Amino acid sequence: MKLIKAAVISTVGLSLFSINSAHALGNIEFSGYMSLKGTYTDAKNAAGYTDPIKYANGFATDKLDWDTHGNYIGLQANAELSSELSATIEFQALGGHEKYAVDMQWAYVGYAINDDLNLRAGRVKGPFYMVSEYQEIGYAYPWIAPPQEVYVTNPMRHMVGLDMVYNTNVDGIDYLFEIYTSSGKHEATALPNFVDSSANTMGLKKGASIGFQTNNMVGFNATVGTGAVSFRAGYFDTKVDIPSFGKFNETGRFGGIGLIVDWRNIVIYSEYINRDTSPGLAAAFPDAIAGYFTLGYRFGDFLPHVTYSAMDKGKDKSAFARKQSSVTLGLRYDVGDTSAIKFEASQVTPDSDPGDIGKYGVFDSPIKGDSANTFAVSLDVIF
Amino acid sequence: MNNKIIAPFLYRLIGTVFLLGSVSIAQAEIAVIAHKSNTQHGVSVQDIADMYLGKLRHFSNGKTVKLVEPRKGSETRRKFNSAVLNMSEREISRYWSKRRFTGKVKPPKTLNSDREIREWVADTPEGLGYIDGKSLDGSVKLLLIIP
Repeated sequence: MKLIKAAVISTVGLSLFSINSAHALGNIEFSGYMSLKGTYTDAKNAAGYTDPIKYANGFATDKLDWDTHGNYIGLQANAELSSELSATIEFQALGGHEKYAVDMQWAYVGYAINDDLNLRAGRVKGPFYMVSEYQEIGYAYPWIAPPQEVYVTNPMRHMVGLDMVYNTNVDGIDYLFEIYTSSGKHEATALPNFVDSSANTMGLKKGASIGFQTNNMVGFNATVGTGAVSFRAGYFDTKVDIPSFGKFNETGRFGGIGLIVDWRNIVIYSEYINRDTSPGLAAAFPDAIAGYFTLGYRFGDFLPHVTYSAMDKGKDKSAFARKQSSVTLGLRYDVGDTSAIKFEASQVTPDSDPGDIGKYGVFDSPIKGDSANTFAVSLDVIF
Repeated sequence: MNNKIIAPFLYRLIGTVFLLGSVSIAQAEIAVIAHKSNTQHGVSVQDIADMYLGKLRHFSNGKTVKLVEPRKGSETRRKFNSAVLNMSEREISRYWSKRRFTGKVKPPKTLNSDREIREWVADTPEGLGYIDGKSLDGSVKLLLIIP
């Protein structure tokens, strides 16, 4: 594993000196990405809470942190085995508490049934939400990280299964339909408000990882659009086992719609999601609804943008469902043709319902005062 | 839009003259080339743009297309980007960054020189590429000239 890690890191290092965005070695093409971030939050714990300050599972802490959970390095290799058959693997290393452990994100074989219809089998990134498949490729979107309120509600990164993608263009309109079935083993972080509650009878600590398994996942993902405007809808249904909670064969349903506009100089990203889970998941993955709206305007290489984002309890009104809203001002500056520097400041306002144990939002503890600010800078590169 | 209408005529005109073997293209022009065995008769600028953005994956005769393009920084590529795709290198880079890593659409293969592109197209029955007009020779089929 160490050897692979060293190989990945050194290849990544070498590639940074090259200006091409894909590199061929015989029949194998390489491409990669890197996202390095510095983050800080001025949040203080509410009286009585002593855990370290953490925002969004380690994305930011109360120290200026250059080794955050939001740092990524990835390297993808794609080999054409025949005109119909291809193989793709991708290694990814995550910073922060994952300490750049190298993980295989993609390992699949693709079969082109025809020019428009592709079958993929193996480990792929799930098309769970609008930018889920390129969530770690900061270069691909305006923000430093996709809005936390929406993206923390999806605890999965990849899945293992079968996926069929139909891609076509009719009269200048692009259509993509995708159906998939999969299973997967995943890790989620225990909800901090659950950890602090009397319901935490197993003695979980903050940041504890909870292993869970998804089975019989069935989903679809569809996009319709032109180069300038693209609509997206997705839905998936899965069985969930959380052995450490003694929960088996529970159900999770995730639905979402989204919009991307990149027209003239106007940039809009917007998404709305609904997570609907069975009652046995109320302590780990309670029902949630969340959405955001981002508006930006390009001035040459500069893209200033503003985002309003919010998450609220879903149907079950679980005491552990998180509530929060935030306003983010951001600036993306494109440097050269394959890298971008970004700056962001967010005002985050956690909330709760009467009877909940505190206003956590996506912080690890309730915060002092009504809101806190988070600041971030990033360098995002593709190669 | 004019290009869309003019292109097939231009192709036939130039193609015919070229077959007579008596013309070479001025250096500022871009030659869109395919394999000699390709039965495609001309191609529109719009189709070429759709192919290079991964939206159109076959020729109008139904044959699958495999694309090659010059590497970043090439003058021919810069001209092609603005004349055919109407996009800057940065816009293209952002466009593919959303798609390349999802494995659903594949960006064109990149080669370093006109000679490599011409040789690759000459060796690839489904191949489509573009080179500076002055690098054109008889080893490939000329589909379109972009002034």
